[in-house]
Amino acid sequence: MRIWILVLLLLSYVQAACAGMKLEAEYPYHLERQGVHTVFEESTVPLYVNIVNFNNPTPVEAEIKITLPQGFMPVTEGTADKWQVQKEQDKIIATTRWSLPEDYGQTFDLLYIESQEAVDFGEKQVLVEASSGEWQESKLLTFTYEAEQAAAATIGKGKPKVDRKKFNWYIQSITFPVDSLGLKDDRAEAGVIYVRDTSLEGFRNRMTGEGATSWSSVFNHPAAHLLLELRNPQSDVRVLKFKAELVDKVTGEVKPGLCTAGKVDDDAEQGWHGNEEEGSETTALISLDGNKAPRFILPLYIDHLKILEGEYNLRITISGNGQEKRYEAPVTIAKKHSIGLLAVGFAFACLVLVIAFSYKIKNCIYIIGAKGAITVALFAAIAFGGITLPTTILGDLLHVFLGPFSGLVTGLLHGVLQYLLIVSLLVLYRTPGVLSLMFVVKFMLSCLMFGHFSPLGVLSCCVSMVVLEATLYFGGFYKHTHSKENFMLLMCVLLGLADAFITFINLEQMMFFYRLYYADWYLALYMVINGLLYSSIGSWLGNKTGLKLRQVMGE
Amino acid sequence: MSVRQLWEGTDAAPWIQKLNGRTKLIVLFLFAILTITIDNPRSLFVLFSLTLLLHVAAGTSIYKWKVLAVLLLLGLWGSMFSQALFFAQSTRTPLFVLIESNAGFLGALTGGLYVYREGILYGAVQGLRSASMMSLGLLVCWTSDPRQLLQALLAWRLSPQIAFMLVTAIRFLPVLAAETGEVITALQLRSDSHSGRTAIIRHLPYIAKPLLARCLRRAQTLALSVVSRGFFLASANRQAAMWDWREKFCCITLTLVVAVIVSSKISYLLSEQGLYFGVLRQAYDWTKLYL
Amino acid sequence: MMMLRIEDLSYRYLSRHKFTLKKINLQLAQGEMLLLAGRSGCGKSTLIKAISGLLNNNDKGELVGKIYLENEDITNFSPEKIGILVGTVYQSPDDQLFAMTVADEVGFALENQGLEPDYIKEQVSETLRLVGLAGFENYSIHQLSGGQRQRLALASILITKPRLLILDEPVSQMNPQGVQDFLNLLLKLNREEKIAILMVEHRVNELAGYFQRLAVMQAGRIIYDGATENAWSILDGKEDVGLREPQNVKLCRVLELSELSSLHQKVVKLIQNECRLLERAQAVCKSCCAPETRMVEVKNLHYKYPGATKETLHGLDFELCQKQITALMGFNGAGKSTLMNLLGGLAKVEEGKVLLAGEPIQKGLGKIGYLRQEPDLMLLADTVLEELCWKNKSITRDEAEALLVKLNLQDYARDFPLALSKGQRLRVVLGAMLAKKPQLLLLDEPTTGQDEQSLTEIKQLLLDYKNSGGCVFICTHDVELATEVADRVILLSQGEILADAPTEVVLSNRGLLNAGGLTASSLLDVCEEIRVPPCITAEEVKHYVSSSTVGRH
Repeated sequence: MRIWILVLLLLSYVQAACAGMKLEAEYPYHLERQGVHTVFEESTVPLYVNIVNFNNPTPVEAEIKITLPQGFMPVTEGTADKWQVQKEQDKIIATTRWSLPEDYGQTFDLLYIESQEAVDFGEKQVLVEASSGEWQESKLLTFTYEAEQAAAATIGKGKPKVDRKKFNWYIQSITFPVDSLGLKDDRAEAGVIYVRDTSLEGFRNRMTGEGATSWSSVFNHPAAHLLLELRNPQSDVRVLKFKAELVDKVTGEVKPGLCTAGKVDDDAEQGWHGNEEEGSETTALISLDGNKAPRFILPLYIDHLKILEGEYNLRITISGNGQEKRYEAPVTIAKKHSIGLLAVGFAFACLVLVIAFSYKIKNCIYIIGAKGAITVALFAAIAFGGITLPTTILGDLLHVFLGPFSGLVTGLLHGVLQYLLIVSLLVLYRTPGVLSLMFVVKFMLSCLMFGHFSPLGVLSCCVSMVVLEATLYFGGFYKHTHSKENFMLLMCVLLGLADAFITFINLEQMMFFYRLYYADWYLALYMVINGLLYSSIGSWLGNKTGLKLRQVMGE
Repeated sequence: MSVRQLWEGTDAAPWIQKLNGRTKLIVLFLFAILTITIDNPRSLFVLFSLTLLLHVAAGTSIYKWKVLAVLLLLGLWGSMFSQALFFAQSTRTPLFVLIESNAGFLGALTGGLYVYREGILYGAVQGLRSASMMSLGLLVCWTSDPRQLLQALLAWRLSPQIAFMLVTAIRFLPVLAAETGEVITALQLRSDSHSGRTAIIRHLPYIAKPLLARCLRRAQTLALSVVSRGFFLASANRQAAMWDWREKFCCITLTLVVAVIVSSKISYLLSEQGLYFGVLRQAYDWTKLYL
Repeated sequence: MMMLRIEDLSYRYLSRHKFTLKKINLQLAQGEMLLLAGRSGCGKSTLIKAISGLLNNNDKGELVGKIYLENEDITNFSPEKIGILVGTVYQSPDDQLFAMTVADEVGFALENQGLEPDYIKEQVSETLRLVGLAGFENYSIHQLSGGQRQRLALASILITKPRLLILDEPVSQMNPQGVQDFLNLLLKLNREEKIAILMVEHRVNELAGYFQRLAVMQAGRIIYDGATENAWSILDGKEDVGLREPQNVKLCRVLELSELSSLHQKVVKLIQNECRLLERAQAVCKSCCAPETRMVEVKNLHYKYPGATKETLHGLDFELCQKQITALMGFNGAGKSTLMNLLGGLAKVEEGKVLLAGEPIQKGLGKIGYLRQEPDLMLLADTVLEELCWKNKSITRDEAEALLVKLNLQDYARDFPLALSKGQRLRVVLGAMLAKKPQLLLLDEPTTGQDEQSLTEIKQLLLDYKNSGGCVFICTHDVELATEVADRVILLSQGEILADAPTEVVLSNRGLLNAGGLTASSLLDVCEEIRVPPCITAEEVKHYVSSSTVGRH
């Protein structure tokens, strides 16, 4: 143990000894084209400044000073609060102060620099100086200032000369969520961003000893991607700044929830612009390359601690060259609860309930007597022979022709016939547990005759038993010995709804256990037709049949 | 071969016929857990092949092989068909367009319905799960008398009354089937048209009442019969068939193996969520490769 | 020692105002056999339930009086406890067997008593031997014949060694040969095991010879309890008790003999003493089928089931005519049902010809009414009236109402058909057939389990239909029914026609009867004794016996 403490102490000394800062700067800065040192006539190109700090025990202040050559001016519109510009002799100097985070951090920004009209062509220099306490570092960046023709030659020949001040690129559309390739996913509803359920994160962090504050792996994973389509009619070549914020639909006030990845630690993706300010936005740099209809797939990052579910507007701001374009689209923030997992959890809860109440099923046999028990067994046999048997054999055959929609045909048996049998049996023996008894016998029959002995089968059977018994019990079915027609009609609809719910749970379980995909509309279709419609009709027919069969019951 | 013969395990190899019902049901259940635990296509295929090998070892007759083949192929096809339509991973390549996304109401409802090439393959792989379970399930049924399995359930303290109900249901299944056939015949005979004599589907709504009424009368008679024979005394002292220690040992071993596999899978899934333990690294690797 | 003593037993179902059983007093000695008869609904089944302890639950009704078994009051015993002392066998063997194998079924009662498996196994084998099913332990229930199932049902209750055996219409669905075998088994049990037997049955005509004592119930009371032989005279004139009399008794009645007896020796003596035999028989001639009345023509009909190696029917040739009832008789498996299905259009004619009114039968399926063995499974509608009009555009409302009257169901027009009594249910189905005004009426064992009154009503309906120009083809084991309604009998054996002749010719020929698995009418014995040509009905005998009698009181 002592050795470990010694090692740790040594390590901390080593870290302190290695603490330091490093300045990085590049001008002109291009996202795609590194190492280009030419600035064309009358263009606006960003200067990239980055300070990497490591092993700082506390946050420190750093001062950055940029000295521009004559005829070059920083564009400070929108960033005036960050950069102060002053003129010293014939040079322009831009200064700012950054707060560098403790331990490790990369603090960076872009300063757009615009060339004036009457500047001589030739080699120029930008001096970038940074200092913090005793540390000082400077970079002298050399570039060539060239005429427009040369730019035309690199981008596209024969273009007319345009007034760059009037470049009017604009936002055509935004689509979200899309996948990382920009494709829309059928399963994902448009305009909805699902936030991952992070309720286990605290537990995870504590278990792995990272403490409750280590969220980097969560934060640096995009919650959704957004497809941004711009129109660039004048084929501008420029780096633009992208900003996405959540704003209140009524007040237009910016709401917390979005964030930018890679502000701390070493896991920031290269090229993404982190903002050291406490912002509620996802920012990024995008590069216009002269294409008239550029498309960008941009990740949106979520601040899992701050985001709240609800309806917002997603405000997209693109800025650069002194221009700013905005676009707003409604967005729904929904927490992604793992429905499949919840469905399975519910099914397990049903299993526990069935086990807990199993003694009641035995009591039920004593209440309904031998005749009742035999009737239930025979009804279950009919259910097995009339539902399980044909759906196992014919269901597969129907699959050949109808595919996943074959269930709508076999559902006639699962819905109409099954509920006809259930309700007619309940009309004959209005006792809690009768329905469960029938399900138990039917399930065991399919287990013994078909080998359908699987966890999914057990869970599905339990779900049906619990949901239907609960519906009947809380619906007041067992309170009376006879029911009026209106009440039975209501009961049938309730059973239909209950079956829709059972259908949903079972399909979710299927998806979970068998890793299958079903579209939401497909689930809805089955719930409405197989669940609500067929089962309600079956229940009603069952009520009618049961009333008739009562006359056959004898004394 | 009649349908009843199909469900009687008289033509199977003696070794599998003699296996205790408990062994068969445990293996079946554990196998079902395995198939839903495993994701790796190769491992799934190995499991599926294993069930087919068991069929070979059990001496499944040619007729039953044919039935098995039809059921398995249909099942696989079903899975492939559904996943071809609903496959939702990228990348995916549409082979056919069934409904355009801009095709009116259906298009708006479904967001377009396409047959994706990758979905077919995915469905085939995922279909191996249900195919494996069906294959083993049928093997168990084809090599066991329902009584053998029932004895297993009784050995696991199934209530004698429920066991009675189950036996009654099995006993009357063929009778009910024959009576259903009789009602359909009656419907054909009483139809007023030629088409009415041949269209079975048209008759389905009328089958329930006569059949259920017959059940109620039968229940009356049978209840009288069994009550006078002491149905509710239920002190049944049914002696379960001996469970061979070797079978028991195999079941315990298999249970442990499955428990390890499931634990490994769960820990792997948790690690994906961030709950990662360094010491389990090898288990994670193994799970990733084979499960 | 008195085995069973019932004292002033009355019972009322909660749903009814009147008592179903009214002050029943009945005694049964050890080793005694009693036949309990009475029409449907007279309270026989309720009495059995009361003895079996199924009615002493106050929830269901009101029970007054006492039941003693071996002088012990069992009125309030549970059914399970009584079940050990009293064994009950019910009407349909198929409905009272629940297990999958013979051994499981027989051992069930002992298993419920918690006895050791080895002991149970031993007892099962012994009981099966007793009922003639030794070695059947591991057979599936489905592999047994109807008669074997009835024996199994008997074995399943004999295993508890009951002192009293109650049988509720055990032979109502058996063929004549099966009835004889089963009753012989009962006699053996009675003699060897000294078991007292109480049997409830409509078919008194076939059972009278086996039971010394007969009790008759009517409207919840026992109106007769005494020697079977004396019952006929005492109950003479009481048509509504619903007894199906033995043919010998009918003969005594027709010949107006001084006594009514079922014993053929006694009947012979009475005839010899009281009647004068004629030297020449009076003409007995039945109308033969004229070509213009030909309805069905069957030519060289062969049939083989798909996959079968042997033919079921081998080249049948016969005709069915209008205004004629033809009975199809023969052993089980002779091909009767196959022939009925071919005529009913349920099976396709592969080889040979079957013509209905000159046209292939498949074209005239709408003109055929086919009543199958399980009439309950042919009831489809919610009311009796709807049932008559179900998928039948040819019947008017007035005709349906008239038919209801004819069927004696006018009071049940709005009732649920499946909730009616057995006889009424059969009449509803028959009515639905007749409502379609068929040219050919096919009936498969229509009288199974029917009581005397119901039988009479059905016979009348058939005769009415025949007289209105109908053609009837009945498949039956019931020799008496064939004798009374059929003009002609086709006897089928192993897929071939053994005989096709007027009823009196076929059913009076002992050789043919034996070959066809039929029981000879007791009248044949009488005829042989008094040396007149064989007759099958009492009316026929009368043709050979002068009405001027000697020694008539």
